[in-house]
Amino acid sequence: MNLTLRIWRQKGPEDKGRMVTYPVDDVSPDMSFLEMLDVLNERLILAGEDPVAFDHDCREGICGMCGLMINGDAHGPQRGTTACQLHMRQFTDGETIDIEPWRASAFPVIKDLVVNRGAFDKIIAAGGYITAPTGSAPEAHSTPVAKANADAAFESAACIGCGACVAACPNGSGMLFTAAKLTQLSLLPQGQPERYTRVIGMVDAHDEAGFGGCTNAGECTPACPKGIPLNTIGRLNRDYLRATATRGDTPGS
Amino acid sequence: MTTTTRIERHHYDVVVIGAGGAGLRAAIEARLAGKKTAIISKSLFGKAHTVMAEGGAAAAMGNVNSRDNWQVHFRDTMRGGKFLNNFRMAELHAKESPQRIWELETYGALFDRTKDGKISQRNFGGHEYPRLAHVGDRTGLELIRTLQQKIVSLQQEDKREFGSYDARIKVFSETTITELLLDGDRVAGAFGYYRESGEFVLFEAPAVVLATGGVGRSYKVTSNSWEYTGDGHALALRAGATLINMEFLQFHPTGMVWPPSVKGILVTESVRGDGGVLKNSEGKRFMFDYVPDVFRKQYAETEEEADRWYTDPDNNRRPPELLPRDEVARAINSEVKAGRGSPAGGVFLDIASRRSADEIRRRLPSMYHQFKELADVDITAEPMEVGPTCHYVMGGVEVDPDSGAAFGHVRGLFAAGEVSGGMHGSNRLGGNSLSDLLVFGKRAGGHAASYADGLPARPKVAVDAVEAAVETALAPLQRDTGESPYTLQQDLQAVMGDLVGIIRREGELTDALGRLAELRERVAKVSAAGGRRYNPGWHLALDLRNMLVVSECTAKAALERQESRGGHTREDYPAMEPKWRQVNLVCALDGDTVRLTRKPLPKMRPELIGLFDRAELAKYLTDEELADFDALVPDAGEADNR
Repeated sequence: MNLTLRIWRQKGPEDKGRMVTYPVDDVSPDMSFLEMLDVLNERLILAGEDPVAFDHDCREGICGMCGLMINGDAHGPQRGTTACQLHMRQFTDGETIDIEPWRASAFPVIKDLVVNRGAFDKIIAAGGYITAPTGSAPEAHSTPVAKANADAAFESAACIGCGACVAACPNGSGMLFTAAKLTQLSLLPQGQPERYTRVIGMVDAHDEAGFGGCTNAGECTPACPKGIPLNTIGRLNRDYLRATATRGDTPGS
Repeated sequence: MTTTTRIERHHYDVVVIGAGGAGLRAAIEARLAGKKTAIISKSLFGKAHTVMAEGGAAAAMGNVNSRDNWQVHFRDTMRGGKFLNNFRMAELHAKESPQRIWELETYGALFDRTKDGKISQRNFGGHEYPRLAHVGDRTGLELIRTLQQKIVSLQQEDKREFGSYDARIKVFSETTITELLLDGDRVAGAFGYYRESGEFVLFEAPAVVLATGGVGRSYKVTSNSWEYTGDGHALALRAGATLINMEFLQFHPTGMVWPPSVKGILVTESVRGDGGVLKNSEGKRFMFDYVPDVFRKQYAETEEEADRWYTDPDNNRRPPELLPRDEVARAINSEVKAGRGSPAGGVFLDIASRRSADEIRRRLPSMYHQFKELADVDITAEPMEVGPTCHYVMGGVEVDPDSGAAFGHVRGLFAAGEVSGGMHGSNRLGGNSLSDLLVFGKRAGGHAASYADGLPARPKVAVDAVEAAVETALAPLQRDTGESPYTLQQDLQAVMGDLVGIIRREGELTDALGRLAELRERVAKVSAAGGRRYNPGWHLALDLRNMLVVSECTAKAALERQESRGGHTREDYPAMEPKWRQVNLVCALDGDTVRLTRKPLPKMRPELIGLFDRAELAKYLTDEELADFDALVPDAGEADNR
């Protein structure tokens, strides 16, 4: 396959950045999208040019490192797939492909296609764990978890924190991520003691980190490589309402 | 030269090298004991091979079959390891793994449940009862996520108490350790570099826990990624510790063999646990031809019986596809060699004809996805092509079973997880590694902390040792006449893959040792082009000496052990010899040379050996050992321990 790539090049956080066109020939349809970028980079290095910086690690759809806007879609055209598991057979010979970084004010560009997703860590640090003592190991064992709850928590646990939901959202909101991390714990018995302080802490951290608000645009779920459902945000909202009502303030204020 | 080299210095009580399950669990334990703890991760934090473990964590909780208990788990582990395991490690592991799993739940982990809300457990090769706690097929990921979040929660505590998240536990990611520094025979610190900047970093610490994982990168076809170059094994050797059982490598029977870009990537054993069967090019379900005598009692003889087992395991014997990994890997190897392989040189793994498409997608979502995406194969409609891939090293640092402290003449060095040896004997059962990480990670972290507490004075890092470490690290950059590290790695992988692979022969092993000696000369002169900022060629040049010394240990031990057992198969000595079961092969460094010695295996305690049938023991023990057994357990002949 012969392709034309238009790639966002930005030297550093302060650089304005621009799209640069690169023709790439002899692309095998069996290559993954990232392998195709590797091929381009090898050629750039041989030609003495600066290779395109992009995040990647496991290339098995597990680590959540890769994140590219491909023709305006987070992780590209195929649903339920990270960019590393997207294959060139999804594209046609002669196609022009636009490749951009995640664009959201909470994810500043570091270089080219690499963004800083440290804002997610701040949300996790605000409560995405269990600190309250929830008993000894045998006690954990003797507390049953309803199968339905475990299965629902399982859906949320699939989140790899790649940030596609933020990139796809017109508001740049990280609510699907926050909701996934939150409801996984709120559905389990061990998560109950801190359930309502957690939701307030994590939503506050989300807002402080510069993510936009959720207006139920629903763009996040189709972009999510793990297919985390939109009603996960509904679960978060229910907990948030209850938490703020108990606290006696106006929800969302 | 060294006076101008800037070295960042840190002081810690415990330094944990490796950020997989064992490393994180060790670090949590050390931090809970109040020690200032550093976690060093060669790649990005959270990207250890623990996350690739899909099957689950073995723990005899008895949730699905109440007949399961630690004694049965212990027996399965010893059987799987062909009785070469360190019995004490197998015992501790079987006893403590349920607690470690439940403890994860108090940290917020999620496991699949049974209908009545208990942790669900699945069947797996070599385990008598359903025993693997799992989260779909991404158990390892959940385990790492939970441990990471536990660390984040401890950091919040430290922020409140000391004003800094990093006050007592800090992660150094993309950092490689190249040397352990000693003060006499005591660990004094660890020296390494940041991969990104190439800057050096020195950790002064009295206790070091090695949790670096395996050695797979020395092989051509491997499920291990670039980090797994035997760093911990080599660091331990150079610090004066010993390695045991290095001849035993596990070739996972089912790696993807096609397309070439994904060669080696694992196909989880749960495909077989959930009904998948292995077929050759003639469509024959060949595993029935490969049930060894020692397993004949536990495995089905007909397809009908095997198929009934999935729904009625109490009244039927297991399908032979669920034999331990080494047996399955060898069987596939034999089929391929006999010309009955698949087009890409493997065999067929078929679940499509045995389960509905819906069921496959629900039970094996990652596998469905992996094949669809990487190979364009729909596993609900057609069989997969699979073959053996280098997966796990049973051998590793010889440790004290209870504390994880390294043997040899070094103090303050601990090891846990894949880098330690003994627990799995000659072959590891699937599912036993995640529980191994938790049980021995906790132990090593705790004992490293109390070792640091008990020291009258902190060992000191000697200036000349740091200078030597700097010089060794910079050497490949300062030479421009040597070979490229990539060429050398390829040559090393070819030697190990072709001559020290699944099936071994004396002549080839001798040949391998000759070639490794040549490679040693070449690796000593390796040059890396470029500078110190993110230079993978330089990183590989430094990893090569680790890969080389560990490969030498494997080749030497493989030549010495004249029998076939578990992850070591000698074509010229195809039988398992009771005499050899009494022997551990121990590697140490004598200057630059690997020295191999034989060491008797510790003797199992009477109440433990009494858990086995005499008839079963007769397959593994020498006549003298059997006579001892009869004296210890007079009526074992009739006793039914099952």
